[in-house]
Amino acid sequence: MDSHWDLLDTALTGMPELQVIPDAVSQNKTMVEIPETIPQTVFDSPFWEDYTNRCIACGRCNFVCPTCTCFTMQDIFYTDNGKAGERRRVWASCQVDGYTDMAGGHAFREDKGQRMRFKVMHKINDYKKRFGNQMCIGCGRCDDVCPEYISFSNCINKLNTLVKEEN
Amino acid sequence: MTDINPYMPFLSEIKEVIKHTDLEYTFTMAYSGDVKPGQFFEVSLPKFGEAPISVSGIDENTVDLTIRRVGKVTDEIFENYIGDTLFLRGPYGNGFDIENYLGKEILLVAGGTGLSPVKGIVDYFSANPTDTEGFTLLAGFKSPKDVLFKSDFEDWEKNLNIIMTVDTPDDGYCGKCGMVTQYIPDIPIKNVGEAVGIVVGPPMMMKCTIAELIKKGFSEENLWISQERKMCCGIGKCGHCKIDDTYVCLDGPVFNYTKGKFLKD
Ligand SMILES: Cc1cc2nc3c(=O)[nH]c(=O)nc-3n(C[C@H](O)[C@H](O)[C@H](O)COP(=O)(O)OP(=O)(O)OC[C@H]3O[C@@H](n4cnc5c(N)ncnc54)[C@H](O)[C@@H]3O)c2cc1C
Ligand code: SF4
Ligand code: SF4
Ligand code: FES
Repeated sequence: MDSHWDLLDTALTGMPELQVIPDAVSQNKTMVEIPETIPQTVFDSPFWEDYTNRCIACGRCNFVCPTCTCFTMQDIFYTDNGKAGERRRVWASCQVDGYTDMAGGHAFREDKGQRMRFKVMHKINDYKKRFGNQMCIGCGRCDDVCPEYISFSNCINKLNTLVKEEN
Repeated sequence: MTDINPYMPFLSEIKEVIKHTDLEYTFTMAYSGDVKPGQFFEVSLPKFGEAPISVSGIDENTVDLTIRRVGKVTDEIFENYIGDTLFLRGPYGNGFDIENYLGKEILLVAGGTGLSPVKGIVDYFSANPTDTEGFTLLAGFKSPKDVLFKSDFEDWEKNLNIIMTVDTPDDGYCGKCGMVTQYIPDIPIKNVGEAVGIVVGPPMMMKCTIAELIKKGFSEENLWISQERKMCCGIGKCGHCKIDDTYVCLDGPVFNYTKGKFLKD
């Protein structure tokens, strides 16, 4: 493809050079206070029951999240040529049924509130503990997309209050 | 190629097949390289998918994989026989370090297929009985039909203390029955404070067995467990096996109980 850079260069000859400072959103009105450490005792708190009742395990919060990376391996083959196919990674969600299913029917976190707890802990605690920085970038996509109006930022703030009460 | 793409499997030939039960076969696969008991391979067949399978035996140029036929991938694996090939990638996971157990009294409790990841340990101490102060294998199976590694049991009995029990006996069975836990109190251990306990099996069996071992006087830092979780990668990427900030595929599946007891799904 011809991009005609030469034409652009000619057209711009003699123009004054300007300094460009890239700008990005670094803050908005939603503020969260993230607890420094979260004791395992809050795992069994009735706090999560609210999410058990509301979350429908659709997984949208995970699928819109720019920092969610979980996947499942899947083999597919083509109907027009059964001998050709591919093994690929497909996006997986820790909120959706089947995420922890093992052969024999054993599964963990059947309760949707506990899935919420798992997701929240991963975003604001576990990932940081292992890799050194916060995972959630605060984009708010998960808040916007949830059909049950579950707010991740509200959850973090409420969890923060709960952790303070526990201490 | 495997250096570039960690998901790229290699071909491995089936050297031998041992049929334990209708549903459980051991496939001896061509493999040479470092591997430890308790580690696992991702075994796969194109079009069907991948399944994590523990190493149940190690030889110079082969590894044994004892596979239970339960679904899509494992059904298809059973369609293959000596001379056919399967795809493998691995070994993955930390596995058991035999060094941790040398010169100690050992009580190994295994439930059902839980025996496969620890079979390498039994094999080692059966071949080197002077490396332990006393080795007891307590193995439980559902019924006499489900007993695995029958010919190995005959070998092991020569050098080790073996207790095998089944939950539900059938006609003509004259061995022990009942849960593994009921045999623990009577197993003689000379110095229980120093003895090592290794427990692998279904979650409920592990929980009850650990409780029983602690009651007997085993100390938590001498207890070892192996965990099973859903795994789709084996290399810390897919997220399925994660518990808290721990990835079972990388940091496990073998855990010391002092760490393992804090893992909360
Ligand atoms: C560390 C580890 C060691 C294992 N060792 C052995 C062993 O030595 N022998 C043995 O028989 N089995 C072992 N398993 C269990 C074995 O991986 C499952 O039985 C197998 O994945 C079932 O696959 P399937 O497609 O035949 O069954 P299906 O029931 O058809 O499975 C459906 C889907 O669930 C997935 N799945 C089911 N269970 C698991 C699982 N545990 N991990 C990941 N994906 C799963 C499969 O990928 C498959 O796509 C082990 C599992 C783990 C995690
Ligand atoms: S706010 Fe955080 S958790 Fe929600 S979608 Fe954005 S990065 Fe993901
Ligand atoms: S988007 Fe809302 S309802 Fe759907 S899984 Fe996430 S929290 Fe649950
Ligand atoms: S198996 Fe994929 S992260 Fe552990």
